[in-house]
This record gives sequence, C-alpha cells and structure tokens, in this order.
Amino acid sequence: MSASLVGAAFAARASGLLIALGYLFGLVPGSVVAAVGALALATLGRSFLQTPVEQGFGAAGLALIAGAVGVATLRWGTLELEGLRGAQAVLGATMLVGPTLAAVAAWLGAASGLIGLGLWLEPGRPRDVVHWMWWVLEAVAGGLILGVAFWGPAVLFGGDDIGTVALGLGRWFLVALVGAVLGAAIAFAREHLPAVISWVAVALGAVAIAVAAGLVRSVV
Amino acid sequence: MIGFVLFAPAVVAVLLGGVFGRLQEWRARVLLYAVGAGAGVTLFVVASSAESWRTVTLGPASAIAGAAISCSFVLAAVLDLRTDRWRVPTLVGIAGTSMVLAVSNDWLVPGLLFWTCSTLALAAIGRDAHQRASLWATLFASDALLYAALVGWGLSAERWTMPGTLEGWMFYLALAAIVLRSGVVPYFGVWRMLDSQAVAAIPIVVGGAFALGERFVFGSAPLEAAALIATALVVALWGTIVRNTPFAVMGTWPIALLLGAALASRSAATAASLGAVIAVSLFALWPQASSAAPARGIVLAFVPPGVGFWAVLAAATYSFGRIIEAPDVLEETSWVVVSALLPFAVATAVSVGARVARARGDVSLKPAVVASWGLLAVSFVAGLFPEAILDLDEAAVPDPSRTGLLFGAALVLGAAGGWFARKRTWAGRTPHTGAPRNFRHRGPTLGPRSLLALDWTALTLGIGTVAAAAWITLEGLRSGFL
Repeated sequence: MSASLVGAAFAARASGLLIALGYLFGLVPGSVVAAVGALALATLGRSFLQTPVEQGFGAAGLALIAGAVGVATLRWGTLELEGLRGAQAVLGATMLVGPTLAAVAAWLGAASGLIGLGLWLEPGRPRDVVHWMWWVLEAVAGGLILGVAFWGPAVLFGGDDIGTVALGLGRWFLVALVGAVLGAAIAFAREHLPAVISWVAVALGAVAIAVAAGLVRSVV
Repeated sequence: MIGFVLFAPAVVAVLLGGVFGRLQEWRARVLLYAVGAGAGVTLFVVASSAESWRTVTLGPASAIAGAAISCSFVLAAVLDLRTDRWRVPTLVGIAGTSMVLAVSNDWLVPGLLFWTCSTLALAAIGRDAHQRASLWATLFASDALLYAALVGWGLSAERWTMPGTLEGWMFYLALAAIVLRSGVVPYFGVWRMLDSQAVAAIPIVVGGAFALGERFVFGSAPLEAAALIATALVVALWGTIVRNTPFAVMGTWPIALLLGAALASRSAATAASLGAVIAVSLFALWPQASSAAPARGIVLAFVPPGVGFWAVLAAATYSFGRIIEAPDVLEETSWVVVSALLPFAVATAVSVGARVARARGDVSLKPAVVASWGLLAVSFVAGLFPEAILDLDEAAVPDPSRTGLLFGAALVLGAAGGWFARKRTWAGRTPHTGAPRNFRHRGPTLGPRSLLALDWTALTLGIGTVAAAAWITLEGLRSGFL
C-alpha cells in the first residue's frame, strides 16, 4: 500500500465530505447531483483502502442513495436543493404530502435510500476514534441528503433572527440523526449477515426506486 | 496573432523535424515542446473570443483541438519515445494544426482538405503501431463516413459552407465516424497506438473526434446518448469484475460515458471533451507512470471538481429538465433512460476509479509520473471555474463563484490533510493490502488473414477518402465556392 494512495484516500474522503456538507447545509446553492457527486468523492477515497467486495457495496449504496433522492426530485420537479427545501417548506415534507400515490412513492424512495445508506457506510462497529470520526461524518452526510429530499425543512441559514436559525439547526440535526441512526443500524447488522442478503437488499432497493419513480410520474 | 497561434504547432513541428538531429541542447528541446503545448493552451483560452482569420473562425471546437494539441506535446515531451523523439512530435504538430484548421473552418472544401492532412499525418505517426492495419482502417473508415455526411449535406443543401448540427442520415453517418475515431470500439483504432511510439498522438485523435462532435452532432440526442452510456457501464462492469482487463478495453469507459454526456446535452460538450482528452492522456502515460495510479483513479472516477464530473452533472441537469418539459411519452421515456443511467454511471465510476488507483505496474519514470499528477491538477483547476472554462450554464452551476470557493477550500484542506496523513492511518481504517487486480497493456493479436483484410480495407478507404477530398475540391473550384 503506497503512501500516496493513503494520502489520496484521506484527501478524497475529507474533500468529498466537506463539499457534500457545504451543499447540504445550504452554504452553496446547487443541485442534488452535485451533492451526490461529493459523496462519490468521499466513497472513492474510502474505496482506495477497501477490498473489492466492500468497494462494490459502497458503490451500490451510493447508487441507491442517488436513485432515492431522484424520486424526490421527480416529485417536486426540481434538481435544486433550494427548490426541494422551498417546496417542502411551503407544502410539507415529501413523505407526507399527497396525492396518496406520490406519498407512497416517497416512502418507498426513503426506505430504499436508508437501505442504500446502510450499505454505503462501512459495515460493522468502528474500531477506534479516527474510524468513529469518519463513520459519524459519513452517516450524518448520508442522513442529511435523505433528510433534505424527504423531510426537508426551510433553508437552514435563511432566518433573520438567531432563534429561527437555531430552530432550523435543531430540526436539521434531528433529521440527520434519525437518518444516520437508521442507516447505522443496517450497517451494524450487515456485519452479522451473509453478503448475499446485502446484494438482495440492493436489488430490492433498486426495484423499489423504479416503482417509486413510476408512481411519481403517473400522478405528478 | 490568431494566425500565429493556429500555426504554432506546425512551426514547432518543422523546427523539431528540421533541427532536432543536430540539436543536443536539452533546453532548446524543452523550449520547443513548451511552445507547442503553450500554443494549444493559448488556443483553448482565445477560442472563446470567436475571432476570425481567413476561412477560420474560432469556437468551442477550436478550444477542444487546442487542449488535445497541448496534451499530445506534453506526452511527446515526457514519454520515452526511444528512436522516434523527432518524428512523432513533428507529425503531432502537423496533425494538430491541420485538425484545428479543419474543425474551425467555415468552408467545406478547405475544412475537408485540412482534415485529410490531419488523418494522413496521424496514419504516418501510426506507421510502427502494433498491428497498424487496425488503426489505419479505423481512421480511414471514420473519414469515409464523415465525408459522406458532409459532402451529402453540401450537395443536398447546395452550399459550400460547413453545416451546423446535422440531422437525419447525415447525423448518423457523422456520429458513426466520431464513435469509430474516438475509441469507443475496444481494441480497434486509437487503442492500437498504445503499443507504440505513436502513443503521443492519442489525444489528437480523440480530441479531433470530440471537436467534430461539438460542430456536428452534440446535444439533444437522448437515445444515442443512452446507448453510449450503457456501453460505458458494460465496459466498467467488465473492468471491475474481470482480472487483467486490457487497457484497450478499459479505455473505452471514459470515452463512451463522456461522448454520451455530450450527446445528451450540448452544455456538457466542452467539459466532456476536455475530460476525454485528459483521460486518454493518462491512459497513454500509464505504462511509464505506475506510481501515479491514484491520479488516474481520481480522474476516471469522474468525481468533483474534475471536468468529467461537470460533464455528467450538465447532462443530468439537462436530461432532468427535458423529462419535466417533455411533450409526449416517447420523448419523456428516452430522457428518463438517460437520467436513470447516470446515477449508475456515477456509482460505477467510483468502483472503476478505486480499482485503477490500486493497480500497479513495473515502470515509474519521473517525467510521466509528474505529468500524470499535472493532468489531474489541470482537471481540478478547470473544474474550479466551471462557468468560465467549461462553458457550463446557470442551470448546471447556479452560483459559480461560491461553488468554486467551496471546492477550492475543500481541495486545499483535503490535500493538506492527505499530505500529513499519508504515512499514518488517518484515512480511517487499516488499508486493505490484498494483491490489486492489474490491467493488461496489450490486447489480443489479430491473425495474418484478418490483418491482410484490414490492410486492404485501409488502403481502399484511404485512397477513396483522398480521392473524395480531391473531387470535392475540384467541384468547388469549378463552381467558385469562395
């Protein structure tokens, strides 16, 4: 294992997470594609140090997250993160707003996204402080992107007073925490499950996303 | 000034060819290569001015050609070309200048004549390529298709100017020409240059194909884009599953994906073309730059802020917009297919990048390693200014200055962290140390009968294309086309 590969792994992982969090916290306007691309950069950095099978699960998880977020973008007709937040701030969370079939599609998409997050995170319990740090950061970023797509409140730094900002922050952390914890539970469970079950989960998630996208386009 | 920039690669070529045999002073050689590469960069920069010089008007296609020329001169300078240190750079300069004059031309006849010159120079470069018949046959077949499309357009429209975006059967002929020339077909054409000193000309061949695409076919072709992206995915899955995948197969991954992105959205054209030229340059450097594997992996993974990422993002943004605004189910479905394939492409790219980054070879020559990391840096720097350098519109990058700032800060912090972490375990886990699955340099060898058939095909097509160029020139002169 060359030193340059370890250094590049750190650089890609850190840069990817910084860019993703920049988009997801609303510091920079942009599309969900950019946020997914940033997660891809973080995934690449991690993959430099992984076995081919782990690389495959990371990539499959990323594809499921991207597909799940795509369902929400189809629902609201925009790829922009601001557009997703704005629509949900006015009309309500993607998973709660009718028509019923669109809401069902959102639930399917969110479930697939959580499966994707569980597969995307490294399997098993982190072993040391550094490992924990990366793991939590990635779980938060993954939870945030699903939160923005399916349960996205108003723009984080859009408020005029400190109370609004604090409330926005609190809600965001709550959303991210719920997403991260659910994804983490799947990631922990994967350590004790045969790999074939994870691949079945990938296939089910992909089918669910395809069904959800079809449902959304049929009603919206 | 424009004339100087256009002809600088050829002037450098003549100087290299004329004095190299007696020129022992390495500084003079470096200066010549630097002038050649600098002329390409200058062309890329000034192309947005849309200035005219005689029958040439600069545009995005000129920028793509400039980037390709620059990369080719860099390859000629850093690669160990053994006995061909003067012949290849000379022909690269001639092929480069001819290509720019062809793809930037406003008129059909001079454009085709310059294109013929470029192809002949490339065929001469590939003289010593392993199984050169495959290269020659592909180059001339591509030209035959292109000439049929352009001459067909000229005759049907009764005009002697270069067409804009082609339609109908002429579009498909031009697209087939571009697909053949760019290297989407594994083993054939440009990939035969990998095994020889002709490797330095690969960016010009691929860049020329993308420059043609920018002029005649790119944008709003969802079905064709989907077919190319699907091809890229198949190649990528092959490359990540099968051991010892040949370069000549793996190389089609970035070409097919970026060609697909540019076919989906015209706004992705510059980013896709630049990304393709950088990617094939890294493939060309690979055998002599084993230790630069992480740089190759990052470029081939199409992650931000590299230019390839912006091409994928622009295509995704445009195709999503077309889904929302599609007037009928058929058009909506074709754009849905493109949009559905792109997330898979992003995820697959990560697997490809990781595998390439871990692959090892035997040879690491310092110039080739430095050039590989330099190309990664170029890709990142261009990606930091997506609106100014890559011509991306507001739909793809709503706030270019803040985006560039975020990406720049993340890169600087990441790179600084990576520098300190490179000998520790801060990357977050104990590195996997299993044997990386390497890639194979040389592809399968064709049998003598196949080679003979290809030789005859190349000869026939070559004579045919030169004759066609001569015929259209005489026809044009007779009718006073200028």
